[in-house]
Amino acid sequence: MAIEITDDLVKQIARLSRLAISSEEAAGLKTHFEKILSFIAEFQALDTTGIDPSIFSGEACNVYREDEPRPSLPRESALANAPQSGGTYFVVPRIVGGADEDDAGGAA
Amino acid sequence: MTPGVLEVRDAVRSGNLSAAESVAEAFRQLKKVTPALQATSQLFEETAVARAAEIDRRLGRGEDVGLLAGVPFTAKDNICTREGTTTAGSRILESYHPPYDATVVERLQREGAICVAKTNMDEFGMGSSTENSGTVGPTKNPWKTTHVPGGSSGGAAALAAATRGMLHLGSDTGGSIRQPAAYCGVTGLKPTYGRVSRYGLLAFASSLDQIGVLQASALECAFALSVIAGKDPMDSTSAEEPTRDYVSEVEDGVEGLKIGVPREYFPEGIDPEVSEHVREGIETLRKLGVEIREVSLPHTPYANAAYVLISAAEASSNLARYDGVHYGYRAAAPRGVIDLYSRSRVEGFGPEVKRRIMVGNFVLSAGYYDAFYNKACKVRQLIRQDFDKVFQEVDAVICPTSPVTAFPIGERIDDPLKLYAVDALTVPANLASVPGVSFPCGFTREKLPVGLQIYGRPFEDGKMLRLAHAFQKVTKHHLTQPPVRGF
Repeated sequence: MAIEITDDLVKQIARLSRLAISSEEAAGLKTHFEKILSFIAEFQALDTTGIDPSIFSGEACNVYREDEPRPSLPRESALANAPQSGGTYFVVPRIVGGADEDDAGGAA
Repeated sequence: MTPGVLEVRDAVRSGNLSAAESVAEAFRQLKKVTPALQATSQLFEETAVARAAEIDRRLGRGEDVGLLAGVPFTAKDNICTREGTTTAGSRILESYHPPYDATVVERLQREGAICVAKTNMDEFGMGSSTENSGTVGPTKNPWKTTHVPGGSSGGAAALAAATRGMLHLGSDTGGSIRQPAAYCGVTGLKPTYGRVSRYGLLAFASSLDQIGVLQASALECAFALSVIAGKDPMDSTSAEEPTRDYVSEVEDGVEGLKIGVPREYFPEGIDPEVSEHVREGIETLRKLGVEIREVSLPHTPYANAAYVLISAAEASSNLARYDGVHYGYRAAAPRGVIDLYSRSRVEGFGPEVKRRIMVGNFVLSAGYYDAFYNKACKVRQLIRQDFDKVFQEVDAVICPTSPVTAFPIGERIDDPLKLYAVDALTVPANLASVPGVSFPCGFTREKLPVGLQIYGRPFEDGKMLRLAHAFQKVTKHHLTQPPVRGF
């Protein structure tokens, strides 16, 4: 699959990644993407027809437990590391009607 | 000779050494090596001394304080401790105080072990040199302080080489325990995926991450594994497979065991001194009655590329949680919520972390998923099948840990791809979920350690360690002392 790494592609991925990168960082990342593509060229040529992708490790899947109440993190502890909290909740900038509402969907 | 972990344990249990003395000795060693190595991010002297005093009081009353009473331990800075901060070497978590202990920490403490320090690392485990620490700066190699200790568990590896009588918890996603163990001349164990709970390990790539230890010997690794292994209800990927008494298992003989030497693990460009010492190491095992045969793991050359894509994909997803809202760094004066996320992340993460998040989101995004991420997962399947096949024929696989030895600080840092290359021989274990152990098998003319690596069948961690222990019973490489040391 021949892919050209364009400035727009890098910008788009940065947006998806929620990284407000500078134009200098964008240029470095463009070069990095190009190097990664050449690094994986050999493996891209490998024939993997009919091979099941291996996504998880180990054999466990759907591990169940009884749905019994048990102690969980107290609210004060959960909020203790918040950069800004209102005592019982996390404080964030306005979302609805906020400065970047147009972008809030974040869909690619 | 300065006592090792088992001697400290025995001395405390028999009353010949107090927990207070054991902890004091640990801090004496840590403080002695800190200026030269910069291996720790925090020391917990006050609380460790208090815990030791409590253990001594309990011992005085004749209570059973556990298997590790008074044994000091360190935790890599991506393993959560209630004590102090847990930063994963990142500015984004510089002030993060976990409200809970990781299961491994909890298990060690339940047996009377005492946490004395957090160790330095590459940010979020992303690096092979411990030069990418966003909080502490680079850790140095105790064999040569102009050189890297390897990474990402570089702090733990440097301390395992330069101190005695402590346990050192590390984590391994693509070689982050074994490669620094090789560069620092210590024994590094990456257990089978699922053997040790990951609860409380700050996630990098969840299908590859595994907690293990870096120690002076395979026997110490077996001892630590006996305590930290086992099913944990807090980690649903931890395995039901029963644990074993690894300490007694490593003493069993190795005669008649079969080991495969994969021809793909001596690639073009491997340091000839590495090859030579590894081949000598293999001969040592042959003399102990181990049957050696050549095998093939044909997809090895593709492993690193698959690893780079899969680990980046998983990282991009795992690191999405760092958003400046729930914990960690928050950018000043955000204009809106997206601006808050985007600037907190760009200011909080270091350059390598940003690269990997970007690559991960790229390979997972619409239009590229099949060509990159899915393709990498298929290659991972082929690598697993290679191991399944070889393990029908042999009990273990033996190979170099890294194609090179420790390199000078700064030599590879500007070229990420050149840095990724040193992981080529360790990443297959994570992709295939098999256990791996690295231990020293010789020294180069420059007096740098060379690592020999053994891979075992899944959940045969004990048998794999038995081979390393048998090797260490007849060799002295693991006893050789580095020029910078605290003991």
